[in-house]
Amino acid sequence: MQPVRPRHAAPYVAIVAVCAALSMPPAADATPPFEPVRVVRPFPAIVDAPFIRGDEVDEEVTGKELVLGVVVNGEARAYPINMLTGPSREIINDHLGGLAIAATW
Amino acid sequence: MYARTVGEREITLTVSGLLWNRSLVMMDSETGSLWSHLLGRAMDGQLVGSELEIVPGEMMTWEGWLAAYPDTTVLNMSRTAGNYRLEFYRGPERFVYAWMLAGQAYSTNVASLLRSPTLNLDLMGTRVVVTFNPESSAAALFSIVVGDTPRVFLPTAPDRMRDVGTETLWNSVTGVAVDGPLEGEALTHLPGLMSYRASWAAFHPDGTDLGPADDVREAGR
Repeated sequence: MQPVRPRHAAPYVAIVAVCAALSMPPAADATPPFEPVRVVRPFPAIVDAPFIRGDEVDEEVTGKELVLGVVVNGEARAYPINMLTGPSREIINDHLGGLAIAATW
Repeated sequence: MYARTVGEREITLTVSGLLWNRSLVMMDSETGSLWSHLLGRAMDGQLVGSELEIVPGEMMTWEGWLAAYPDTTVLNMSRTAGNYRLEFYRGPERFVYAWMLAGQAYSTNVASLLRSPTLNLDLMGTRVVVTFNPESSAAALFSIVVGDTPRVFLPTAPDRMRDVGTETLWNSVTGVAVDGPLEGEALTHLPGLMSYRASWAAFHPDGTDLGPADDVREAGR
């Protein structure tokens, strides 16, 4: 198993990917200066991504695939991680339960 | 998973193509400000210093999610990868379920969650339970105060637990009471995440690692 996204250095990938996706800032005092470097070109925003009802799923997503799930005001939505991988897909701008959300990986 | 609003204003987030601290930098289309994916904070531009609110998300298998939330919808785009499946968690001792509470970092090893899939904790007076479903790899963190009373839970099935006081049966993935005196009550979800153990420890060297010996019942409550 090698669940490492190629552009990231290895030991940080899980914390970066999962942290960012699921949400937990590390201690602020550990933060180095903001000096970003370009690694790929910018990608256009993903808005109006297509969704289907869970009970309509056939081969689109299979049972053992991992999803990132979220519930807002009683509305549930899943984002299969195999669809969020790669720089063009890392942010899905969405609305759920009346809230504007960003599903990120 | 973030709420993408700043004050009353909705923003649209894009992949900037920049990397910082080995982590994605996002850019909003409205102002061009740059946001740390990791911190959820605008680091440069007009919105610098603004922070995005975290929306608790959970990672588990699709079948586990569908069982927990039958009315769910699901993103329908082409796959860009194939390796994010249940087998991702082979070698469970390499993973922790981790969370922050009152500025303190906590974690518990997935191998120990496999052995005891509910972990009732008293963290500086805050009562929580960690639950784990080995069939779907769903892990969750809940506040366990219902009304004014903290509950203590024991696992009864991969996605079920009962509270010791009232014998109510709860869904341990959704935190909803499904049968018994408290039926219809819901525990409050708190944000947590799956991480590689080594990665979490590197970011949080002063974090507290918890296990079955810390369970409130084991501690002789």
